[in-house]
Amino acid sequence: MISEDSANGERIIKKILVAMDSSRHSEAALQAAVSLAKMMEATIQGLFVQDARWQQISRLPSVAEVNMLTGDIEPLGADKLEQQIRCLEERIHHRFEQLTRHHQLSHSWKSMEGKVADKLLEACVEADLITIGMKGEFFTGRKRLGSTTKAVIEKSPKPVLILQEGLKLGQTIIAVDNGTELGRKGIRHALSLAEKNESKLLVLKIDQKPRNVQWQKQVGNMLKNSPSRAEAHLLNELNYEKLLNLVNRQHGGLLVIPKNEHFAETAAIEKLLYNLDNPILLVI
Amino acid sequence: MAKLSADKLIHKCDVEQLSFESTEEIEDTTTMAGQHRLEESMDFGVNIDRDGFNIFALGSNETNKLSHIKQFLNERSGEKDAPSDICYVNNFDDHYKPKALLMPAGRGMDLKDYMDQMIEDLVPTLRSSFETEEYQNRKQSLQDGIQEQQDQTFEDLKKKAREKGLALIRTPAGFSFAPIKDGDLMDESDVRQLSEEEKERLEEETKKLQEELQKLVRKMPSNKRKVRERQKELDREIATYAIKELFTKIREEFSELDSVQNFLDKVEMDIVDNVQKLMSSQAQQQQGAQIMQMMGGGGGQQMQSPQDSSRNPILDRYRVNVLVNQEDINGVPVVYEDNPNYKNLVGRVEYQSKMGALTTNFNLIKPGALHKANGGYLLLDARQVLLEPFAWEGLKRALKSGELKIESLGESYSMISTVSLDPEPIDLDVKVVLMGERMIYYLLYQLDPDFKNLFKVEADFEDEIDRSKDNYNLYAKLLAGLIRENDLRDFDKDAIARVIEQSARMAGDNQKMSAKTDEIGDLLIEASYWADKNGNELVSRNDVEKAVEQQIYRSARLRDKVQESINREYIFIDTEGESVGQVNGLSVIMTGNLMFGRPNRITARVQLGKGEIIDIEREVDMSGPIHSKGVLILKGFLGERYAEDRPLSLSASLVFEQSYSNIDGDSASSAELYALLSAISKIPLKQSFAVTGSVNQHGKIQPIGGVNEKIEGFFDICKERGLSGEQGVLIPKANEKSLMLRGDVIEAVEEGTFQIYSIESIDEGMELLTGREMGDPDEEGNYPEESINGKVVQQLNNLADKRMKFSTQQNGQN
Repeated sequence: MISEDSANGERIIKKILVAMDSSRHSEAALQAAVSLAKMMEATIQGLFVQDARWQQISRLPSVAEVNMLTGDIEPLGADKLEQQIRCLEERIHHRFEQLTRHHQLSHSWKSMEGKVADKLLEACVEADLITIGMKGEFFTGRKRLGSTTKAVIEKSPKPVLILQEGLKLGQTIIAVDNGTELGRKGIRHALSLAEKNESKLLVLKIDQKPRNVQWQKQVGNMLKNSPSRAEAHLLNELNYEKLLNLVNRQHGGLLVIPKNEHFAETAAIEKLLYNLDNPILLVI
Repeated sequence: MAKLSADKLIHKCDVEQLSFESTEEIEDTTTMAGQHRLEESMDFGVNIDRDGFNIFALGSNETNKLSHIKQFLNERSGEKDAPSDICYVNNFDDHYKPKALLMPAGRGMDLKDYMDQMIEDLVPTLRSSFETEEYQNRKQSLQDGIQEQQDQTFEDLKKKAREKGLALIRTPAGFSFAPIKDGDLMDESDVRQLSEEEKERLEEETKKLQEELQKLVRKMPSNKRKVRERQKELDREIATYAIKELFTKIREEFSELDSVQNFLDKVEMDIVDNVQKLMSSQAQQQQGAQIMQMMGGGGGQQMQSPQDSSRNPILDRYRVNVLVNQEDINGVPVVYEDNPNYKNLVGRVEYQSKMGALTTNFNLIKPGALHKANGGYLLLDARQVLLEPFAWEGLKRALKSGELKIESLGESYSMISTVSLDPEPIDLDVKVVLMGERMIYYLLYQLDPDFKNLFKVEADFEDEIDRSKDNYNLYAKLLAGLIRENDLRDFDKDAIARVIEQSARMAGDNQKMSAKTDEIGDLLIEASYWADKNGNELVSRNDVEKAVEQQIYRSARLRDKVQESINREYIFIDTEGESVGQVNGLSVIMTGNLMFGRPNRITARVQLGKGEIIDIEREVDMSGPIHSKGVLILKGFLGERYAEDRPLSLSASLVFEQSYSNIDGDSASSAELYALLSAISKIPLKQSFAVTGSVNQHGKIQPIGGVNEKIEGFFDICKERGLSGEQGVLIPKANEKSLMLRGDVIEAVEEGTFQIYSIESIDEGMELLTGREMGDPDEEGNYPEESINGKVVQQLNNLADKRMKFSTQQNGQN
């Protein structure tokens, strides 16, 4: 769960977990995590999970591997695999150290072995936010979520920030307010980020029937008291196309969505990722 | 010998001969009059259209050559059509060799403006086309098509593997196939339990699947390339369509100019080839200084202002650098470059410092004077060109080759080594007019072999103009021209007459007028100043007189000091009485812009000797060669007249008393001869006279310079001491026409208190100075005893006798 709010500037994200593999989406996740950690003065933890299946197959007789860069077929023994894993972890760890040290962040590194999604979910219990690339595997549809990411989204008890290759957090933060408690948390997160980053905040209010007048007042006050440039737009009907259109027109960066919205389901998120070039923060 | 009357001492300008009352009436003004030779030379130089017939205008520095030539050329420049504008544009095949684009006068700026506008509109236009849904969809489908195909093959492979009892596992470096049982990976024991056939089958299937996967992996790079190529094609298609409209207007405007159409073709092609670069560099520029530099997709376009797009350095390659714009000139250009260094003559390529490195592009090509004057006339001061390093060579190279090439000196001499430009040379069609002193012309002609081939037209400025009725009125036009040019008050005809008289004085000849317009111009300006001060509407004779007096007064401190020294008898000059072997010579001194005369005491002493005449100045190296020559001539005169049948048995010494600096010139040679004859004959000379004139071996008096100043110099001393009526000056007869004397001198002559004699021979001078007859020889060649010649012969005979006696004694002793 998100650390509870905190009037005006108190840190609501203190620890960020970055799920790391060798993909470029994961690099984007690391960079976003570093940016956030710097902004929020949070600690950052890198997590590398060694897939349990690797050890399993290495013990099988006459297993071969098709190299992804060259296409060569080479036998894959336990030793070779061990060496490859070591190399991979060292490379990822080095990159993590490089960035965090450069930005002088408080950081830690964790290496686990097992089923990747399970281990990520296990580790994120201690964190306030998990950042993850949209997919790790090479051959997965361009904007389709990887199986691990899907599992994390579905089961994570903590907010998940999903990044894809080449994206960074942007100058305009867009938060969807659906009138629920989660929506409110999302706005707080977005406000806190907008204040720290001196960026613009756009709240997309989804019209609730019947109207929760008191709730609307509360949000209005929150925005009014905020030093950041905040605006609120009312979406009369929650229409997927309208949402896309608005987000695109604002050339927004980070999109904050409460998990309890129906467009926060994995298929819907895949669609959002396909149509938008924005990182998505799922508030859980 | 003639005693000159007052009317001979000045050649007054007859006011009646001037056909106007004041210069106001003169409409047809000029700043160049009586220069027929010059006009014809310039006319020839301007009209002849051949290589090497450039003009060298030579003349005194006091003549304002620049103003005259500029006026002359400006009058002619309108006769021809304006030359082309010179522009440089990017060379899209080789950025280091910018292309020259010549356009009809005034069109260069038009093209530049159109291109600037195009550049401002380009990125927004492109972006709006590239943001359309149509483009995005097509781009996506291009990428997705291949990616999906790839993904599908992969998915099929996965499925196929699963059907065969195998799972595709991602390993750290690639992919591997492993057998599965009930959806989970088999472990070692499961595998061991498999039958041999099953194991073989699995191995066989694994191999096949691996090979399929291998194919897929190996196809990936070519797939990516294919996507890129198709995307580029798409970009080209969209860009071509998008920019067409931007160019339509420009193409219409310049439809008659093929060179512009070709340029526009190249620009269009370049934009189409580099469309992504143009837009992406735009996006990079927008990145702010925010710590996080958060970029949301490719957004933020609407923040872009037109100025931002104009600052994009990539877009600069489409600009037009108008080096020379001939829009506002009427006819061909007349350019004077007052700082003719190498860069200012042939142009230069400038550099910008970016992150410590020097970079340049065709927009930084700057024109030289030769560019600006191309098609017209370029005026340069020869001395300045020669003083600037490499400028003369650069100018000659351009004229010889007939083309204008911009080369960096720093690179030619390896002083700097940085990437530079090699702009396309331009055909050079310019008439260069060099202006300089005569000495520079003759030196260049003699010492520089290229000079005579490049500057074949000699335009020589006269220093003087003849005085005649016609020329008076012509000269008045010149004066009126100078008055207009300097924006002065108009002069009445009396004032003009006085200026003409002063001009004759400047020329040192009462039959001429000075053509040195700088000096004349200064006089006019000063006279106008005094008229202003005196509240005169028109400048009057008195104002001119005042200007002349003040000019002299301001410069005359040294003259006054010298005269004071003479009057206080620090410098000994007698103006009365008689003395043997002593005469008042006259010399002139130049200080800045003032020339004044002063008397010098010249003395001669004679003793027994072998006929040598010692010039003391020469002995101590204080005389110039002309002075020494004058003294040696005296010996020739004495020998011819007095020593035909016996040797000159004297030793004489001559000296300029109280002279503490070098002297030169032969104008005192007659004075030296008078002193010498007096010393030999022991006949005293009247000190009330001062003399000037050079003498030849026959005793003829020859003309000298500065006669007016010399007379006035002696007059001033006499006047200060009181004019006795005896005092006067002897001048050569040939100098009568140089006389333009001051009013007070003329008055004194009129009153009979001062005399000026013009003489033709040394005999006339001696008679005036001694009051005795020179004496003609009788049939036997003997002079009358009491005549000067008689006394001289007598003394020389005495000396010869003594010498003979002395040498006999000497021989006897030996």
